[in-house]
Amino acid sequence: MNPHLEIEFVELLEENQNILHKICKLYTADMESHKDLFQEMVIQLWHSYPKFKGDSKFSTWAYRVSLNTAISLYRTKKRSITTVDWEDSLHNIRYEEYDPQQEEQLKLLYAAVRQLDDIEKALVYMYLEEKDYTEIAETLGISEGNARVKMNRIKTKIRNMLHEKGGV
Amino acid sequence: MDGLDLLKQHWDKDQNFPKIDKEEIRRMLHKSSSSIVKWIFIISIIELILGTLFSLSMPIAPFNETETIVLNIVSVMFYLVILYFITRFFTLYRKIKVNDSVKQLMENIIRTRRVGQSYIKFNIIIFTLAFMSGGIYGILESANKDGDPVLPTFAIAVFLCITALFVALLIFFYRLIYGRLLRKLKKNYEELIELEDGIKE
Repeated sequence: MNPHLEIEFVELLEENQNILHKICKLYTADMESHKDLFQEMVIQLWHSYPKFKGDSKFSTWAYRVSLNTAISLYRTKKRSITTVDWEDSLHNIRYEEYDPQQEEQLKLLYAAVRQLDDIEKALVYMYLEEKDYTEIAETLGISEGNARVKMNRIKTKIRNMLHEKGGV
Repeated sequence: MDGLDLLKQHWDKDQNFPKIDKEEIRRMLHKSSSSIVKWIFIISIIELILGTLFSLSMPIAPFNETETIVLNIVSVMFYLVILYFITRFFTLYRKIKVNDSVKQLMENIIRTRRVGQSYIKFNIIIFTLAFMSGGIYGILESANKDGDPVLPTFAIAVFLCITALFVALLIFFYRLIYGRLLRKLKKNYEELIELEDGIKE
């Protein structure tokens, strides 16, 4: 592989690494799995990089490839985290103003998201990233209508999960 | 407020992630080295098992007591050396898998290649010596039994040709299996060197 391409790739990835971290945060529940998934995404991105033609922004391309990696890994390795204790799933969330009650709610929310399936998590990621439904549909290979329906179901599902835990 | 909306509010603010630097990203890209070394390690173990099974299945020649002792000592020494190589491959695999810097990765790739090459040389030399000594010993023994005073030169010459053929096959086998893996490691190493130069420029 061309070393200049590698230098360029490493620089771009370093700048945009939070995209990968955020996906890892939704798909994994501990630091070890976070690192593993991050590494898998980096390797996948690197292998796909020669095909990246710059039609879209690096960040857009990177989140799509990374999300696909997370989905396929989740499927092949069956990295189910449904057994993770709700209390264990905290990833040191830092706020401008510390609010223990809100922190607790966020902890519950992240844990609830991690209980969703691979595609649902991808939908949540794109929703949080404020992607429009056209892009969500295109990325996941589903219709726009289907994406909306799925998103509404996810919201209800999360609401119910939180309700059961006495959260938000 | 809807659960996800609360999450959304905090999503962009949350920047508390481990910072992965360029060096670490590069190390991740060259992770393939660890899987190559893992394969070298696995193949060397398979080879050891197959070699042991093969030697156990061979008919035992009617050696006298001294010869048997010598043979056993040689065998034990041989297996100790093989075990040493396998342990080295395993420790190198562990090091490559967990090391943190590209420099360390490069050093370990060089080490693995060196150990790999020594392992191949050792196996070829031992095979040649064992095959030759065993064959020539057999020829001389049978000539002695027949009471033939003339040295069976022709039989020895034919046997040496057969040995050369077997050694050539063995070299081919090693080139095919280990050579391929070691070349991949070399390529990976060269990429790292080019990269280092590229960064310095």
